[in-house]
Amino acid sequence: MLKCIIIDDEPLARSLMREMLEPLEMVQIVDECANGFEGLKSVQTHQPDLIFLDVQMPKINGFEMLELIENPPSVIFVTAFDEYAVQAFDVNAIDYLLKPIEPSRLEKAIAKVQQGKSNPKQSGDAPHIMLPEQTQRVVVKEQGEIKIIPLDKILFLEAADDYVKVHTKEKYYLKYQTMARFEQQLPAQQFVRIHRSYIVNVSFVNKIELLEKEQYTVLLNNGQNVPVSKSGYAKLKTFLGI
Amino acid sequence: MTVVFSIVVLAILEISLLVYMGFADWKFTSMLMVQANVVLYALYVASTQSNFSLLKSNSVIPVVARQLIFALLYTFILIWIWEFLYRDKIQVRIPGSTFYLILFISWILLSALGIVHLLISCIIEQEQRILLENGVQELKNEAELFKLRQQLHPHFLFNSLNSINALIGADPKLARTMLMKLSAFLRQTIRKEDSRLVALSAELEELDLYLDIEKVRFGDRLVILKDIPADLEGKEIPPFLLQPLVENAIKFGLYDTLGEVVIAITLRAEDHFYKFEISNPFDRNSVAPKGTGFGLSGVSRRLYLLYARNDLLQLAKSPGKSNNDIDIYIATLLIPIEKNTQN
Repeated sequence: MLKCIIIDDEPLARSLMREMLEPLEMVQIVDECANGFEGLKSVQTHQPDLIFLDVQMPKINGFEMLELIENPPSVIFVTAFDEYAVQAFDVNAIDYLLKPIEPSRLEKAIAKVQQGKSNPKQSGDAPHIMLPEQTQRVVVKEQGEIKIIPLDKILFLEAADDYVKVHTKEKYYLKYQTMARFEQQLPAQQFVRIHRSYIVNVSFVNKIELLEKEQYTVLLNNGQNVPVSKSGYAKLKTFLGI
Repeated sequence: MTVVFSIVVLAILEISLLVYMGFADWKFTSMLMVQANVVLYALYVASTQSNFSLLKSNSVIPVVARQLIFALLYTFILIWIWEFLYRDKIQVRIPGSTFYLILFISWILLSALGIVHLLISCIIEQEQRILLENGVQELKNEAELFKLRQQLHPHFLFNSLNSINALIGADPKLARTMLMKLSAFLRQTIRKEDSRLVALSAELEELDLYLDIEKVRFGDRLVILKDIPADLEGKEIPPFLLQPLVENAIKFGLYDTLGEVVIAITLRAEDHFYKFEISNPFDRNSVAPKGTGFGLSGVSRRLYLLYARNDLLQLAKSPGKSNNDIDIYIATLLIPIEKNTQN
């Protein structure tokens, strides 16, 4: 039995999905959600095996919601127009269904999930999320609350084990994501990786200080210091044109 | 390439002719001929090819005639150089009658060569033209397709079809109504020509179809408040302005907030303008995801093309009533009333 959640902002789309899933014995619908916020909460409470996820939704889209889940369940994207297909396969979605959904396609997709379930090698790893498109905001979660941080509020990012600290003027937020992923996602004309553990927003860089021989640090507008590695210093120098 | 090739062939032909006729030793003549040929033939080609193309002229005869005349001139100059400029260095002078014979043979040879050259360049030109035409056609097709895709609103279309699919089970009557509305809306958008002015009432009807479908799709979340005067007889506005603005407001409102989305649309006929106001809620703190605002830029570009003015679309934000983070975004569209449409 697969526990599943339907996440779609259109009520009729949800009821159609329910109607199509109910006759199938191998799935059990545990919840329906109208947006990514509800979706995230529901995934945490119900721990489903599978989610049917719409892409275009209020506030945060399906991909952004998925980013906030640490051990995401299997995902089947359900959307109306296929401009997101490439992205969906980058996030290791089980399948990608187009509305209106053909019942046989839906059954096939669910069969794929079941195969994945019976074969731990396939489902063992958490989906590796790779958005090729660059973002204009970072979505984070803080005590169950979802925060959307615009890029120009971010001072710098700092690696912290499996997480990344997203520093803003007021405080920092933790996000379960890799530095490499951030580096790829953030616009290169604004964010520079200056250290193995640091990415800095260059618009906040005040000056580069010499600490000791060949040891530099970046001083930000708000007075914070961020370490710079040797190669990071070279990168920053070419970036700033000095 | 063809020019160089022609020069070489021509030079070899002329030299062999002269040597065969016994007028000169071939080494000296070759040197002389090659020198003269390069300069003159280049001039000759430049003067004929740039202006005379078989494809561009209506008749072949004047082109060929010109080719013959140029060939004659060229031959004459060449022989003249040979005869008079270098006469001391050549052992054997050409007797009078032979001079004209050489002139004649050279002329025939050169003309033939020139016409062959003309034909080759004609074929090349034709091929290039076909390639170019294919390219232009391709671009045109692409633009056409893009326009069609825009008219079809794929995202809207497939979501609506999906909603209808859901309604077929739950509420067949509503499903039927919605299908009719969707058909009517699509027919109107596809049929709509990019004409200067269309009836305002028709534009508003189309807008109603669109709004009705969206209301079914989003259910209670979407609330539309309309304040539009009843008397619209004979009034006209340019197409493709109103619906994109409303579509933008709905998208912006729906995807930027979580709760109920109130879209208010008002229309007032002022002294010189039709004034549309379209408002939608938005989150004060939000960062718009990619893609929003396209509708707005499209509308203002269109307004600029129509009226050469940048002030006909005004955007404003005003604080919302409640003290949460929801503010109101207002787009004001001014459409100048044209004199011939006034009563």
